[in-house]
Amino acid sequence: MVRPPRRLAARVTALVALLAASIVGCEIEGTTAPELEPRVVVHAVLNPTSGVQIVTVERTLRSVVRTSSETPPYDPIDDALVIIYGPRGDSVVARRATGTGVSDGVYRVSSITITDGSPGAAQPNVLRLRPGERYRLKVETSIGVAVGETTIPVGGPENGSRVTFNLDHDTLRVDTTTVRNAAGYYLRHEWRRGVHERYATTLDAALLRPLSSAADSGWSFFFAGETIYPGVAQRFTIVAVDSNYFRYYVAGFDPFGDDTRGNTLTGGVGLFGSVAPLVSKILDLTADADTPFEGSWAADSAPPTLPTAMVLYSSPYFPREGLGQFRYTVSGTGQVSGKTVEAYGTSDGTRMSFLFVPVDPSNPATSATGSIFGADLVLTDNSTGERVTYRRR
Amino acid sequence: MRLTSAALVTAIALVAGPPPIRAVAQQPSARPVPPAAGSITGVVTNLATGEALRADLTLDRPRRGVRADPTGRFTFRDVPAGRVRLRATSFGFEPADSVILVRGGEVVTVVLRLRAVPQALAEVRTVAKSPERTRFDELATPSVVSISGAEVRRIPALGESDVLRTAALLPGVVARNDFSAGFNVRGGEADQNLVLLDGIQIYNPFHMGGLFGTFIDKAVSGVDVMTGAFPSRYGGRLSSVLDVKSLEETRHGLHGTAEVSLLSSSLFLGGALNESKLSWNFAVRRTYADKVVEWIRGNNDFPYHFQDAQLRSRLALPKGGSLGLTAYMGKDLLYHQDESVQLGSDPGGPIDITDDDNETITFDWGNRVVGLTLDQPLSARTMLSQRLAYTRFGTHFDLPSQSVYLAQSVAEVQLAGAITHAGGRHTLSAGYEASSYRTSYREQIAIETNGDNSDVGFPDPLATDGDTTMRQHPAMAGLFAEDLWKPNERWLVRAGLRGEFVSGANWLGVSPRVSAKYFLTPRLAITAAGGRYSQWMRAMRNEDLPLRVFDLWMASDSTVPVSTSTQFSLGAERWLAKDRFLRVEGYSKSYDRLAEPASTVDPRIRPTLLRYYDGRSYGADFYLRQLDHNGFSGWIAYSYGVTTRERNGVTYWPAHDRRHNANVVATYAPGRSRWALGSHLGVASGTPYTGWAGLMNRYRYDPVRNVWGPPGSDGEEDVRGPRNGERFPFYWRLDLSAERRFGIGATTVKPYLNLINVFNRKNVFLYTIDTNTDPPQVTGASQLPFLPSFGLRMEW
Repeated sequence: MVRPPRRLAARVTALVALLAASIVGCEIEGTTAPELEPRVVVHAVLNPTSGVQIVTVERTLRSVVRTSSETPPYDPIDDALVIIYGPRGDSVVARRATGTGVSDGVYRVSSITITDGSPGAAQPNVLRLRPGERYRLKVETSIGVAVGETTIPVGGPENGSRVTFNLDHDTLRVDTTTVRNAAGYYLRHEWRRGVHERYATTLDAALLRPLSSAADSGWSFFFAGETIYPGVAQRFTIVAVDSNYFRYYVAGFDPFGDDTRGNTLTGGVGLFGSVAPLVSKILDLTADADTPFEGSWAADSAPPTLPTAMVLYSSPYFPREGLGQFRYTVSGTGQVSGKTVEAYGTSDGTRMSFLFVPVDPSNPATSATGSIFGADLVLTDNSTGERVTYRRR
Repeated sequence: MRLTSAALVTAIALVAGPPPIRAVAQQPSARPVPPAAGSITGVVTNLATGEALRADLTLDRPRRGVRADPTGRFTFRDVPAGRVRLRATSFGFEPADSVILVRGGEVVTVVLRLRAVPQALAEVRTVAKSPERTRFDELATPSVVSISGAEVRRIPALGESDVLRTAALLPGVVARNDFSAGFNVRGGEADQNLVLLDGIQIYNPFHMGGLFGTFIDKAVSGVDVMTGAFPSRYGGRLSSVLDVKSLEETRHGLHGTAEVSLLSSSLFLGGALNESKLSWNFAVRRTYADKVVEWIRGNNDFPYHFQDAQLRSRLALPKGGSLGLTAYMGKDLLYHQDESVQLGSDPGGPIDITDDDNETITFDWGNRVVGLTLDQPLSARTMLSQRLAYTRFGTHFDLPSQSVYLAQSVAEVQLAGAITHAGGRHTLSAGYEASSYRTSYREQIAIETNGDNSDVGFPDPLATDGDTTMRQHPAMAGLFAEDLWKPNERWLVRAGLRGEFVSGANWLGVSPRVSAKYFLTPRLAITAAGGRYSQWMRAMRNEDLPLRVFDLWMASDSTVPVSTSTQFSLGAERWLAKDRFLRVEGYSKSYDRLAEPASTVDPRIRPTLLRYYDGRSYGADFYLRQLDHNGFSGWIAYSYGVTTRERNGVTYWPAHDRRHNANVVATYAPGRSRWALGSHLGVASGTPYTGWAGLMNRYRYDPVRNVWGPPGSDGEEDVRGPRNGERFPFYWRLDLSAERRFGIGATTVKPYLNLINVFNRKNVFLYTIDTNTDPPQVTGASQLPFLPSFGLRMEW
């Protein structure tokens, strides 16, 4: 039994099926699905950067109907025997996690990561994670035994420093020549208002670099280009993932496939994968101050809703789209009543409009419009009508 | 009477034969003595329609008889030189007599055209053999079934008669469902069937996802289907040979058939020139549902059509030879353009906001085939055949709104030949095949995100490169030799050997093929056969997909191995009457290194991601055949088969593992009646599918913080049961057809009616499940419902 095909891969089939259906057009009366024996569902990812590894164990469900609006369907298994076997004959048993806020069906095991080839000094029942080596997970339950295997990618030391990055000049790359056992890479871009993610099979292109046009797509974080603003701090993350992890999260829908989408377990379904974070770097994004509105500005008064000081930047093609009739996107940070805000604005060269978004999401955002008058920047709060003059610092 | 001594010596010498002669150098050679026997070959047709007739042919000196094959052809060998009288008789036609001068060592070609007689005739008793009986008596090859084009036209079909759909009603042949392209023979995958048109391969012989075959039925004289143990002259496929023969129009003047049905219109024209030395015919067809919908509704809601053109010409050469030309071109086109919907515009901006779904799809596929065949008798017992052919299948898919472009093609140029010599107890044949292939695959897919991840809907995540070009240029050289040996009246033995070399894969294989027939009685024989088969051109096809539009073909190369199969069969055939026989055959097949893409729907080709598996199948076919008897013919075919596949130690049933499959076909078209009736009852057990085993929560995971999201944070997913662990329900379908013949001047008009699935049986095509209810609901989609269709055929 299948669900209707979805998305691009199934378009061809769907279209032809539509043609066939236009001839056929016959639906056989629906019946209740048969009762099914539940199966074991396991999710676990070995992460060498963490000291605790987590395994969730539950049963398959029969429908997605929720018992309440808040509670998703969930049927945990609390009496499972969860064993992780190391590559050198060692094994550990994961214990059921307890405590407030911990869901049923969650198992944990402590771990250490060994990268120097030594036996490693660890207490009994502590998992020794060695990147590049193969691990096996076995989950025994009353409804079946699920087994999975993963080889932890070797990613080298994680680069997590915070640096200033000039979008007009600088280039960010990651060296993957030392990476092994990675089927792909998880890329994540975080900014104040959201997260963008995607997977890639190679990272040959630069992660981030100056662009030649808005359509320039030869860089890895192209997918996040619409939200990369100069003047604010944003996090860029690269994680090497094994083939199980990659398959689980990237596999598309195959309506007639012979296995559950993304499944790499036997005896059960779910995920037993591994990761190796390569980069998780906060970039303080800047740009060259080559337009009239870029630079540091200070208010000649202490407005309650508009920044008293701010630093603004603009960079060609960052962000990539969304200008409309405006020629420039202007962004940066400022202080409103001692609290940090991020400024997002546009300009046609003289007129400007801004949205000041507090870092604390509980505070309201403020919008303002204005323009450059001589050496001054004059903004008017769209709500209160207050007019503030800024001078360069 | 006294004899002189000289006369006595002369008489003794004549009786005893010539004295031994010692060869002497430079002695003039004796003048060659002309052979005392020649051959007669020819064709029998209906004078009015040009259709081939399976007439009975008799010679008066010596008294011999044969029955013409489904194409109307016949041959007499070893006819003593001199004048002989040849007589052709066929029920419903006036006999035709011809006096023929046979010269020693030569082949005489004749064309006999019989005139239909409208009044009832006395029954013609004949002792001539049918082609099926000739095959039974003279060949050791098992598992061959022949159907004539005329018989095909009487069998009920959707819209219009169809050779390939008819072939799926034969023993050992399984069609997955009413829609899908291809059929499965004795447990083999659908790409293991060699489909030939006058000996030239057709890579994709179906239209519209398998609803229709590519061949225009008016241009087809018959088809031979070999479901196993085929001879060594055939190579490149593991499971079967389906050999379609073109009709040859031998009447003088311009003759034709025009047909209009609910789905399509077709025109067949043909004639013969220069005392029938040159025959030609040409057929075209086009569907027009797209035009009808556009005319009625004013839009392109059904943006699909297909069209064919088929040409056959044959030139008689001196000394009984012939040069045949076959050409075919067909194309399916699906072109769809959404109406552009403007939702509004940004008053302050330059960009209009339009419907995101506005898109154009261009999707086409088709075959192009052309081939020349030379058949030339070298002597009364030796025949030489040569063939030069080109065949190509190509497809392209263009979805510019999503930057998707896919194109694939396979082309083959083949030079092949064979020489056959019929000796006393041996018929020897040997030949060669040389093929040059070109496959091309072009893929351009912009892998865009939708703001969440890189999932573009392709099932295999490791094939994410969106710009790929692959080209292959392999070649194949093959040699074969075969001997049909008849040591005595009870035994027939066919032993053959085929050697093949595939350059791309650097593969050299030798395939022995043997069959032996033992006659327990003149009407009952046991046949055993075995052989080894190989396949280097394969479809990128996952058999689990229930609806297959066409196949993309790739050749074996250094990374994709050649698939092989070993087969054995044991059977018995008994002739219950001169026009009725029963055949039972058991078989066992094993397969090595079959390949499939992991995904059923991902159209991208990634040879490195193919999955390899082995398999086996076994079963038995039962075939009760009634040849034309007073206008009644048909068959009962029942097949029992078990097919398994094994990969990574896991054994499963493939999706075409249909255990029980029965077809009852009956046609009734007496010569004196204006009516022709046909019926087909198909009954089969269900094919396997992968069932639903529940739902599972998916989770988001933060690899930086090692934190899992709540249950369902990444949605829910259907959980699949064991591969093909479920089976669809029992299948059955009854089809009926009727045709009435009228004469209007020199034109015969035949309106016809086809009723498909008369009882509107809702055979399950697939199931869908709705898990948004508790309990979940299963809904099925059916195969063809009750579908009446009618048409009109005019012949002149």
